[in-house]
Amino acid sequence: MTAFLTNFFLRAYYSYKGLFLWLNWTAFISNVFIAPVVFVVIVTLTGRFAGQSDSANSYVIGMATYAIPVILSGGILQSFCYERTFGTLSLIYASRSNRWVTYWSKGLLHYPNALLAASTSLFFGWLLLDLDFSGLSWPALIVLLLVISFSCLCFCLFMGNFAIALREWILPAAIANGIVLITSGVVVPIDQLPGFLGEIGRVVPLTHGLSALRAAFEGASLGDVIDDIVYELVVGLSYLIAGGLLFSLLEANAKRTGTYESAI
Amino acid sequence: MNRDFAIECESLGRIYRSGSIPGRGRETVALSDLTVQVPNGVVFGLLGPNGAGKTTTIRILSTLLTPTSGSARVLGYDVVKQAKQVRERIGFILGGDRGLYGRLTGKQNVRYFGALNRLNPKTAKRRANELLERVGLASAADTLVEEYSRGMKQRLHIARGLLTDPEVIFMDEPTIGLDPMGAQELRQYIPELVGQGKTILLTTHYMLEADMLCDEIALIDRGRLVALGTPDEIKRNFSRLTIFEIVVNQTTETLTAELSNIDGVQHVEASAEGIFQKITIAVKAGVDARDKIQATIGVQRIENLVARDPTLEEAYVSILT
Ligand SMILES: Nc1ncnc2c1ncn2[C@@H]1O[C@H](COP(=O)(O)OP(=O)(O)OP(=O)(O)O)[C@@H](O)[C@H]1O
Ligand SMILES: [Mg+2]
Repeated sequence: MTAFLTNFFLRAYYSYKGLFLWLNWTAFISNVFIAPVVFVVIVTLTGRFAGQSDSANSYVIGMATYAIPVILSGGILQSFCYERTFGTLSLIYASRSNRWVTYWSKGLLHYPNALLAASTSLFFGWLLLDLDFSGLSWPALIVLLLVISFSCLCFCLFMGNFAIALREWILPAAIANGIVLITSGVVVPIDQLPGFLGEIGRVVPLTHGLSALRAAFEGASLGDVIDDIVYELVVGLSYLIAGGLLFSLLEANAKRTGTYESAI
Repeated sequence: MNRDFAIECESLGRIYRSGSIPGRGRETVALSDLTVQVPNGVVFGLLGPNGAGKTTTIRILSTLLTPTSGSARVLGYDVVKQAKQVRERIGFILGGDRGLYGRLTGKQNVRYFGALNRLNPKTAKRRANELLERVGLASAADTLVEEYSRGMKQRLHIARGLLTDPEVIFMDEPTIGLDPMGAQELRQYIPELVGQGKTILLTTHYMLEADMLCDEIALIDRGRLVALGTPDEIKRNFSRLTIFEIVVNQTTETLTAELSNIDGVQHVEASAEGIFQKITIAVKAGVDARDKIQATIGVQRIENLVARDPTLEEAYVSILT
């Protein structure tokens, strides 16, 4: 068992270090800290300018949590895409490893970055935009950040398959972020979206976690939002399983077509 | 389950289809109807020109590619249906610039591979150090691979391919890019591995290397088997050539052309040898051209004449042209 865990962490660490090209000070600080904060400020100020000043809290919370899928999609989709670009995918495809373990290990070390990005954004929301923490249930905040990051991680692992198939990560990352931004209620409340977009929102990560988080800032306790937490977890787990299956399908397809050796 | 053979290919075939529009794609027959059997504990050479299907064969045998026809077994396990059992027992060295993480050090690349293949972390660490030492990368083990030269990358591929201590090893042009010392060290290492009971399937474009290392050779061309046997059998039976090496003390401008016109002569090559001239003539086996050659050159000009079997390279060229 310890051998299994050691190997799992070694793989998570090496695939993070080997494939995450933002892993240098400039890229890391600008992507994990600066960019999310700038987004929060821009959207909140735009909202205020548009006369929705009572929604300021809602914008800050929405955009701060939106930093989670953004940082995760960037990191995780890179790591899938470059696995193909670098020609190291065949190491996995010919290895003795369990494919599910391989697939999950790719997300592990990106998880803390998501928590970091969201917490920083909330902090600067308080510092610059008067985000009101007075009624907040702190246990609910902590649990919700953990759960939202988990479900977004699962979603990004799922999207990672498209980065392999397309040999490209920027497009699938933009699609993943776009879907979450539009349909999960980050800016526009989900009940005001045109019908089908609202329906999509129900099966997208962040939606339920975010609505629970907004409630928590209004004073709802952990117990009050437990339904949303469970829902968010179920959404995450569904993507985790669907993504793992897709990963196996891709492998079978790679061996059938023989084209995955090529990176361009 | 037949365990007399480490590797068995039965009518193995592979067609690549490219282009995504159905009906409009191109088809490449990379391998067709390849049947070979590789006994346990030998070095088996897979030779053939560029695009012959050698890498394709190795990718099929290492479970990276499914055949489009026929079947293959490694240590008795089907490479498609029992891929898992096959993977537990094989190692491969595909070489090249790709397939490594440039942002990790040499040692980290090898340790990642160990973890990926579920080796015991302690064993993996020890073997990684041993193998890096063995391939001459000990002092560069902690350098990032993006700073490696081509030959250093090739050495790393070799160390990694051997990490799991596999029973069957596929080596695709393992000495490519290695300096003469590195190539020699590997050529000494291969018999050692076979001595431990391992079976090695090797491709190479260096005929001397193949001749030196291989117990058996399959020559393939455009996906088809054209010759199979020990190096000596390939030289004698398949090439059907006799080579005359003649040292002459005097030559004429037209001599090479005249010699080429003799019945049965396939190829003439002249080179300087000290103050003399050396002429190498490839003659079809069974044709007695000795007298005609002597007459054409002129007996008084001949310092020395020997007939010998072709080298593997000469045999290769004659079989494939
Ligand atoms: N992914 C692919 N898609 C389409 N055709 C391919 C692919 N890989 C190989 N081929 C074709 O299959 C044939 C055999 O290629 P292969 O790589 O097996 O040759 P090889 O014997 O290893 O050659 P070399 O000595 O140059 O390494 C070639 O015609 C090649 O163009
Ligand atoms: Mg090749």
